[in-house]
Amino acid sequence: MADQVTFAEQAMEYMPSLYSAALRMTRNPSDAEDLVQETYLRAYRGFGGFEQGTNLKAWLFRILTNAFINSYRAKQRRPQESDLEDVEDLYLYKRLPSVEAATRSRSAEADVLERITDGEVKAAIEDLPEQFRLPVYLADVEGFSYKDIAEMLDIPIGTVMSRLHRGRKGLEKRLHDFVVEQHLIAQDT
Amino acid sequence: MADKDCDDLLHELEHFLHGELTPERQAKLRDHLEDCPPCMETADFQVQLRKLVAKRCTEQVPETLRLRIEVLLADPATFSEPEASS
Repeated sequence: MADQVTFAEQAMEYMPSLYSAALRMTRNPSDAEDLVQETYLRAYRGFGGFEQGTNLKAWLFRILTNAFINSYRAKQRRPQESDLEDVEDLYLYKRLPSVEAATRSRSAEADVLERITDGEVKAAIEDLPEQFRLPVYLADVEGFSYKDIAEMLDIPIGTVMSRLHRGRKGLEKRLHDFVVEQHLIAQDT
Repeated sequence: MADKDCDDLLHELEHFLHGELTPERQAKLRDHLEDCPPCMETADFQVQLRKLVAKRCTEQVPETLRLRIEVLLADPATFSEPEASS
């Protein structure tokens, strides 16, 4: 059937993005694999409903997100609804070396960022409570528009914006903790 | 009023960087950034931070998963089978 051949041709290239997202959502490689497989299965069967010419990646992510929320969230042992502590805006930036100095150094800032490892960024994202983790990941890793995210998560755009605002601050706080552990920045007194 | 412009910018910075404001607001904040080195530095850092987060999050797809899905999609039965309930 033409539809199914087209699907395989078009959808396979998104597997790295879908798998990376699934891993951050489930925090478990075996669940992530199952989630990606389920996503492809649902997408394949529902491909007739996909409107050619629209954003296939967003469509696949919507299926992924729904599958995660419906099938996997129930299995997660961590509490679903936990909040983030309140963190000030631009948390990390304000704690960089030289932030109070007359001359800021772009290279020193870049150096701090470059030394944050893959594992630390992934852990910082995974540590965010789910209602913040999904919007932050979808916006800042995958670059989806707020409108796409609102549709994927079935929440209003205003809620997307407020969760992004809090989630991004929480992420910066967590990254700052790692940076302090590495002694890249002197600890607050 | 430079201070008020700075406050406005910082308040909306993350949404500006995502291109989510109205075209008028985007243009207004862009003008301010070009005239205000401290705000430009702040914005630049936030851009670098987002890039880092995105760059550090990519994963290799396990070859076994890729094969599993290729096999699944090549099987005509996949399309007609009822959804397996987990």
